[in-house]
Amino acid sequence: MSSDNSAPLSRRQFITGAAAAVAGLTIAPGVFLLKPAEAAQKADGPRWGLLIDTSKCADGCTACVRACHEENGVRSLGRPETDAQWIRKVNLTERATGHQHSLPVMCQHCENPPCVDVCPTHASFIRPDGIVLVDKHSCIGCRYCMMACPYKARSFIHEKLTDQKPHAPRGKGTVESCTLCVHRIDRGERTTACVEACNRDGHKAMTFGDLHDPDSEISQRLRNYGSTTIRADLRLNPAVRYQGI
Amino acid sequence: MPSVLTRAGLSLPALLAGLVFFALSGCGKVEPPPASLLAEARGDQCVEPTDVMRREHMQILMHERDEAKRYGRRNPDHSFVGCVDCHVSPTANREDPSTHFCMACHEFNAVRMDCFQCHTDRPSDAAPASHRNVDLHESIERHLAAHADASTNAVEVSIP
Ligand code: SF4
Ligand code: SF4
Repeated sequence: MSSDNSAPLSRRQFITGAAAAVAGLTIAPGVFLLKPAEAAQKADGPRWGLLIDTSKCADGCTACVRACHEENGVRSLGRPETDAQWIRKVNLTERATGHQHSLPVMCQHCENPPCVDVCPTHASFIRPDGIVLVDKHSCIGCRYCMMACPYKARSFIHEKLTDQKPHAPRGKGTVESCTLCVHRIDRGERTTACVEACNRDGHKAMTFGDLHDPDSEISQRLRNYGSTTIRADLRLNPAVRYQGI
Repeated sequence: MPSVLTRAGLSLPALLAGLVFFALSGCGKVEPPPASLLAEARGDQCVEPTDVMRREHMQILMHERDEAKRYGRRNPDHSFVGCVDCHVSPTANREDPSTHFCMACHEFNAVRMDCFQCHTDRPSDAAPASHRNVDLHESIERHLAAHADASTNAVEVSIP
């Protein structure tokens, strides 16, 4: 849980910069660089993430969405309002210029996840490798996390399910979201269903990898070409990063 | 009532002691159902001795699930999927407990468990049954079609 290892800051500490003494660097009076203490702590292990290049993501292509939902056994029950969505394609048109983007959005695996902060049962949690999951053994279905998530990443299961995938247990009364294909990662694979599908279709818009390993492909791309995150202003430091938005 | 008991040669304390003994003798024991109800496991040997599994499978699963789920430290010998893969036949159906290893014993001992509300009740090699995948493809196509004519500024296309 993030609260275990992030430096707790009071509002006053934050405003006055007193926190800088704890984990930061004062540049000038009132101006300080804040470095989350946990980033340093976790740096020895991996932190899995995705980089999505929206300039390569094809408008109308839904290979990643298909692949994700097939991989994890997520299927429509014929009721679009309540059907679970682990990943969706969002098409954006910039009003001023008419420029169009298409990009996949899934759980952004925030470093400071609000869904974890609000969960009353600690069911919503972040693994040491940065993957944010719901432990359905303790989820009570209150849906606080769904309201807290700024990315609308989570779905509630309203109906009894059958024929789940062995690696992806899912059930009525619990909340779920993208797992970053944690079953593959725990098996030692280093790709996700969505990335695999995107590569297979030749778009190569997505890269999966270890954000903490400076030599990984994803880290090198991030270093050389830069990136942004959706709603970067919220300072959640998502592990899913975008280029071209 | 006391007169009946004394006539039968029983005192009340002896009766109570007998009741307590009877109650305790049932504790911590699991009765296996008749062999006809238990499907053969598919592997050569279980990961633990049978009496350990009979008594402690729930503790083993419960204890290690937090390790597996929260830290990704998975023990393939004690994995839930492993149990189901070996013990449950690909043709088992939990609605008919006599065909399903876990359900047969739980039914017989009248112990309700919730595992299969979320976990699949069928082994991995039974999961990609053909009619299921056809359903899945159909449901994806249906959902795609429903969103095909979206023309607003920000459109979400989702296909569960
Ligand atoms: S995107 Fe939403 S569900 Fe995912 S970690 Fe962030 S707040 Fe939680
Ligand atoms: S719905 Fe479940 S995971 Fe979400 S906040 Fe409630 S208990 Fe936690």
